[in-house]
Amino acid sequence: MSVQDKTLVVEDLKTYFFTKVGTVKAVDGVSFSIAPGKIMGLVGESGSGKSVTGLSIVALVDEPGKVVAGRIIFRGQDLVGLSEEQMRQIRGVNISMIFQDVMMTLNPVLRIDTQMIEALKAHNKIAHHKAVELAATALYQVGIPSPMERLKAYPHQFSGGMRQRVVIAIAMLNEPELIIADEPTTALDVTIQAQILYETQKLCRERGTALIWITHDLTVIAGLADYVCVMYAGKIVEQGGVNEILDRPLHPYTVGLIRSVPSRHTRGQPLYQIPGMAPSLLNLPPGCAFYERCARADQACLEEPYDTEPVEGHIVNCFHPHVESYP
Amino acid sequence: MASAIAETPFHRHVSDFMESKVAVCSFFVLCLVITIALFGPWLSPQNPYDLAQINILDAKLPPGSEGISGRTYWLGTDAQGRDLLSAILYGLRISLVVGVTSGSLALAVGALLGIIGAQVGGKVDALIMRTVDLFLGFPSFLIALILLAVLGRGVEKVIIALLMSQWANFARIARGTAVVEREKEYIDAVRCLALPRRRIVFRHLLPNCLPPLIVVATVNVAFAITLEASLSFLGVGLPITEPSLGLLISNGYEYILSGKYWISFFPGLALLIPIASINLVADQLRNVLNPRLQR
Amino acid sequence: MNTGERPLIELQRISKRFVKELDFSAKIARKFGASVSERTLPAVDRVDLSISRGEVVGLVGESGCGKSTLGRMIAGLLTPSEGSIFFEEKDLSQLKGREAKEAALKIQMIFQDPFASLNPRMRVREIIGEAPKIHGLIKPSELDEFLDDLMRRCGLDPSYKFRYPHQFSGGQRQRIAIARALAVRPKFIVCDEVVSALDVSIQAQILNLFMGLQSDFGLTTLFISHNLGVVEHVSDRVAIMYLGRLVELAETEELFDNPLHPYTQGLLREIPSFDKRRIEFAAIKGEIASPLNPPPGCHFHPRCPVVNDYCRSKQPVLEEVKANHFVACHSQ
Repeated sequence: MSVQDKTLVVEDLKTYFFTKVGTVKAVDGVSFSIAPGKIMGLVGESGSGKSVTGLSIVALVDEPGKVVAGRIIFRGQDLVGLSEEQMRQIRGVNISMIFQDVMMTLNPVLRIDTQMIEALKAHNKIAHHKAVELAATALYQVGIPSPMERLKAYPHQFSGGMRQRVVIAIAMLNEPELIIADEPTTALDVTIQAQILYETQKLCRERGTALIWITHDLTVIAGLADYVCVMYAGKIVEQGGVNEILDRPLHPYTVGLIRSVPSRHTRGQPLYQIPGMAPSLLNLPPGCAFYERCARADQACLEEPYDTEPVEGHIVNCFHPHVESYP
Repeated sequence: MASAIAETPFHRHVSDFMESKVAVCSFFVLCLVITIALFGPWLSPQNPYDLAQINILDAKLPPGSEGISGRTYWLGTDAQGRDLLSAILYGLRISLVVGVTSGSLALAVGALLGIIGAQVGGKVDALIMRTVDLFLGFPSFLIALILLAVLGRGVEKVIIALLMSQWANFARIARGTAVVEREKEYIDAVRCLALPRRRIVFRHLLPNCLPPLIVVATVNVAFAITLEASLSFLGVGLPITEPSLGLLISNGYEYILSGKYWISFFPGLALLIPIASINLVADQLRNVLNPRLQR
Repeated sequence: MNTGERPLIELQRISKRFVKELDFSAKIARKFGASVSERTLPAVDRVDLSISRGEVVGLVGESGCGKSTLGRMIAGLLTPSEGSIFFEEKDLSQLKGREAKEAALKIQMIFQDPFASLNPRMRVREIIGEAPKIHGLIKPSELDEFLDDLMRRCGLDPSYKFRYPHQFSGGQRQRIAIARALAVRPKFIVCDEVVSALDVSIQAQILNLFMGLQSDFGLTTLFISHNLGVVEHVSDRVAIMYLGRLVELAETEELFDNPLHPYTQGLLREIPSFDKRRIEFAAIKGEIASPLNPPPGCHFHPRCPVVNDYCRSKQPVLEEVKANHFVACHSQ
């Protein structure tokens, strides 16, 4: 697929935070792409830069952060360098964002219908009653019962899971081509999470909406994503199809991460621990950021690793990937 | 990763505070004012309450003029021939002492009652809070006025009156903060550890309730100073033997329109400077101590 | 349960109801005939549970199921509305004075939020050392040595004694919290979602630490979590709670291999795991009812795929349907 056909192509994105104690390289050369209707999982732990990546795409990075390099090509158009006014046209219409904290999206003092209709009318010339209809349909599609009555409610009258569903409905209202979801189900119960994953997956497949699902939970990615990018210390250390990443991980960090997840297979024995701790993004060591914690590291790793593709479609940023996983 | 230096919470607050240049400047101005006020009697050229030093013939001289005895009155003289600079230094001292004392007492009394209410709950809490509501329902000025009418004049009485008009605010804030802090997990943890109740309140709850109280206390000192000045201006505050800035302003009031502005102006300025700097410091303190901004 | 030994902790018909009392004006309104009444939240409803020495019992459930409330009652932070808690065969509510204090110290709790569970204005030294010092468990001269040793065992550098909580990461703070709980030499620990707020790799570290300490110190644990993978890994037995009631209780492998209660079955079906790829997520129908207004009879009946009339009216009781496998369901 050419660049034009892909919904989003990110090339060498760099977002740095210029704080008084130093420069934090939150995102340091990230590249990936996503096709229409596909679901990409962006996986990493705290401090990996996954959230900042999502925010950079929609130009919502707060001071003292700034996108300093790279291209973000959305349907052929580079978003970097667009004015705030131009970005505002795109946000909510072509690209929607869903946050973990529902109250970042929902205004607690406005009714749901007001907020949804506002979102619709801001970007479309549309009659009021038609907007109400669209809003009710959207609520129905995310699985909220009796949508016409629920429209008149306030956010606090919904449970946590319902609120997140309302947020997804709002995100879908203007039929965006891309949705960026940042840990929307992390705070929710398993059963509610399952429902939301179900609704989201269905809607994306039906409408051909591309979805970037940012999370630290590999198991959610397993069930949801087509394609996975694993982030560590501001870089994507590995990316590929979900089966490749989970069954035949190449990067030592990914390997360690998968082995750390507890389950019945690990019962009774100590869990695998990745030794050491994630480095501070303020003073990253030279070369590979995973050097201190890697069993395979050697002198070569003191140089900055570059992307290689040992297997087609499976890219890794490492000098010593676990190629033995591939027989 | 844990930081390399043993940074106490206090150090953090100080470095956050220093981010605002305005606040740091105001802080220095304030320190200057306090030092001057403290050393007033030694700094001032004249003791304005010693009648032997005052010459009635020097009355109402403009700033910078020379008096009969050859001394220069830098800020002029008042209607009795008192050197205004000296009077201001003494007055500033009294105003600050009264303001700070009543503010601290109000903080102590209010915070204690508020925290006790939060911890004990039930009828005691209800009683304390309804009393607070009662006091907050009246303007502070009115409370002070009524109390002074009953108690009469004098420094201690003014301090008591100011205390009574301010404690309620502290009690309300202390209780609110204590109720929130009480639900936090670190309090649950020490309850699990079966620590005695008194220790939980004083060692765990109280230190964490202090930040908002400190902010309010700072502003309150400014308010107490103003309140005292207003009372003295009206003639019901401090007695004439210990003239505060309010009284000085009041004395010069009648002369403003006849061109002898300095008798009221300079005391007014001397009142304005500490109040403004306290408010600017308190502003930055509020940002620093705001728990939402904590890393 | 399987040995002849009496359990360390026994809960008998433990319930907790949170009552929102009417305030003064509402009471007056009621006198005038307005139909206002206290709102009762039946957070925990007649739970029976026994935990043997050395066991790790996992307690699983979703928000509003009452698992935290149950944990807090055991730890002594909340008083049960009904029922008794027996610790070492003594009824906790009947203990007084020194005995009560000793029992309280033997049961400790570790909390979910590593950022809120430590006093931000105390140094680590005091956080951990305060209780043993005050209760006279340690001579002041031996305190430092004791602290150093404990900190090392929890994976903390003893030089960190003089630091404040804000200087530590989430994982390290949980270690401090664990050290604090262990400092008073407890026998029983309630872990309330202790790894839920941590990254996966840190979670692994803390779980390993805890399992090691558990066996070193001979602890008995109630491990509360909504994360079934974690629970599966650490627990000997697992209890499932739904809207205040225990619906299933069995040994871990048995429960995960043969879940009998429809809720447990649905829960296990929906847990994402590595093996389930690009699946069609299916959901348990409906939302969890509000705990304020639980459905009559079996709480789960509105969402249950095998509901029958009996379920709507009669509350099922936890019964042993297989060896050591208890379920509260009419459709067994």
